[in-house]
Amino acid sequence: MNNRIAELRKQRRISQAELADAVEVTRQTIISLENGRYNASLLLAHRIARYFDLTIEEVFLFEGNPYESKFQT
Amino acid sequence: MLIRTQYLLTHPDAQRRARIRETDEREVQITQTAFRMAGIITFFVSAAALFILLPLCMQAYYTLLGVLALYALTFLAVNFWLSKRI
Repeated sequence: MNNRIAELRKQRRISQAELADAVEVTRQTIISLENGRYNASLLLAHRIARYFDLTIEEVFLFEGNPYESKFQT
Repeated sequence: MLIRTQYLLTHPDAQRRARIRETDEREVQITQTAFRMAGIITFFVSAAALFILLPLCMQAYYTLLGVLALYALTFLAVNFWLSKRI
């Protein structure tokens, strides 16, 4: 799952440490999220989205269309 | 530890940073995965060690077998208990 955390953070001129402090995780977690090595839990994703005043879908980009069914004709 | 506790009680910022470090979900996941891997590896190495102990010392063999049986029973019991709770 990709995300726009780095992009949003740079737009608002916020450091990784500031974001980490605001959503109550370590800076290493923010780094791992931005590098795509770690997927946030629903709660963390919600906190990050709320921090940026956006929806979860606007911050975290799900691969593929989640509404597309394998059995759709 | 007493000094650390005293320090944290008198410095709310440090207390908050310590709480974040301890509850960070990525760190918790890493720790849980490490415990799980250690348990699995220890279990299978111990099971392999049974074959070495069998011809050497029956007492040690039965002791290790008992420990492995306890591990398996504990796993099943906790599995069952959690399946009812969650």
